[in-house]
Amino acid sequence: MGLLTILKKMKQKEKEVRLLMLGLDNAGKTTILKKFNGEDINTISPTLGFNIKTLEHRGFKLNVWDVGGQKSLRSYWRNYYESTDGLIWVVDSADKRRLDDCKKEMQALLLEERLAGATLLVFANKQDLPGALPAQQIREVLELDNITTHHWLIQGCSAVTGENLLQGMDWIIDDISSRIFTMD
Amino acid sequence: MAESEVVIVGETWETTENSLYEEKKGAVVDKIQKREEELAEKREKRRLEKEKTSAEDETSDFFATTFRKEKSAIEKLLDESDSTPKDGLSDHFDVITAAMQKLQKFVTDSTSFLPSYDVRQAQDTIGNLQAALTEKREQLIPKKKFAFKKKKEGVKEPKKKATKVATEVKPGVQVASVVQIECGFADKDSQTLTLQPREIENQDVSLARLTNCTVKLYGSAGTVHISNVTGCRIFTGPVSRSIFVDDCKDTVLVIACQQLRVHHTLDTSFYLHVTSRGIIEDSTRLLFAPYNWAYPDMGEHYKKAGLDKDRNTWDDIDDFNWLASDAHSPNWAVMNEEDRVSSWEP
Repeated sequence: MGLLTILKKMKQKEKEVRLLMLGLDNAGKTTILKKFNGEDINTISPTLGFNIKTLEHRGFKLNVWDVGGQKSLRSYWRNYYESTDGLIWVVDSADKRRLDDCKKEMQALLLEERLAGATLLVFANKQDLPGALPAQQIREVLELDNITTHHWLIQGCSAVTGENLLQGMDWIIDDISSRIFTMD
Repeated sequence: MAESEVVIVGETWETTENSLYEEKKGAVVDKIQKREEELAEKREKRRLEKEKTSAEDETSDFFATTFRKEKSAIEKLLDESDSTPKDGLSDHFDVITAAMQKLQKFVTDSTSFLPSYDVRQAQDTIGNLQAALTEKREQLIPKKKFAFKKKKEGVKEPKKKATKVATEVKPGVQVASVVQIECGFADKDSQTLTLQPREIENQDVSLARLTNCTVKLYGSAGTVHISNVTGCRIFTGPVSRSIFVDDCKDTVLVIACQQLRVHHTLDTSFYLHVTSRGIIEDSTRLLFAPYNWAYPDMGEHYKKAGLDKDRNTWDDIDDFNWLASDAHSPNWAVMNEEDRVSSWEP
């Protein structure tokens, strides 16, 4: 019990949360991460590999893993599943051609045993584009209502304007902390 | 304790019998005493800490006992609901719900020190209790007309939030109609196709299934998707975000954008302005040269798109199928200067 208690105390003290951000390429994962962190988003290149950022938000330490979404990188996603508290699935709401792909990849993730306990936040990104589908339609296309294995929320947002990013992040942190941290 | 120290100290200072000796002796004794006190304090602290860490409410046994007790209390309440008078039923169920919430919080509080198996067991039990409660409630209190249907057992606060989002938005559209193209061209052969600035400004432009066409997009689009294109020449003004190229063959692309992503493309030339590193994937025999299209008002469109005219990494391309950093990807090359087309407009 001694070790467990120490571990518990450490986790409580630091309130550390591990978030994994995935989605098809060009969804805007890196842009969300950089915008959230207040960095310049104009020079972002497609992610070759991954970015890790540690952010402080509302007293939580967020370890965000942003892994590239190119087809050839998707097989490596599994290397990042371990001990993930929250999964952020980013969708390019304007990319209607690949919504089917998007759905398939997401559903495959949800079957993953190592992600079984993770909270799911779906960011319907690029809402600032005129051709973007609203969050409700993305919700239907991705058949989110059939998900019974994870806590989930879909949030329309725009990484470019920053709209609703905070709301989504706050929700996922609240949901995770209600599971893993002792409520004060 | 002080006695023994005097002896030890006395040995050391045996020969000096003056006041200096007394003074030093006093100091040493003081020091030793102080140390002794510190040690005792430390011991006490350690003892307290130990007591704290092994506090009994953090053991699995305590958890199991309490959990069982609470569980049977809830079950008893559930059984009682059959004999509860009709007008007291809703209060009765509220009491049960509150008890369940308390139990849920207890489990949540305990997750950090419980084995995950126990946590899952506890969660399952709560889920079952909740199912039983829902069943009882449905059975004993007739459903109200506007009641929300519960989709899943064990629904917690966050899930409700998600449901709320849903009710705000109107019923959706089928996927088929969703995929229609709002701006751009599709299924054309041997034509010259042009779009003007006001038609494409900040739009998501799509060019699909074109053969032997010349496409000119004047102005600053938001994004451009190019797919299934063969033998075409495609010109774009400055695109404020990404250009996405998929499944192109024998094509010339004269394009400017913030991000370039190329997939499944063969034998294609790019005259490119890109302000971040472009990427290619599953593509080969690609040639790259600097962007050189020009039309009046282009400077203004650059401003609208927010592209930096002076930053162009057209010759810095990442190949996702070639991760070796010490050798150049065989799938793309910089176009020889003498092979480049220097002017496009007739």
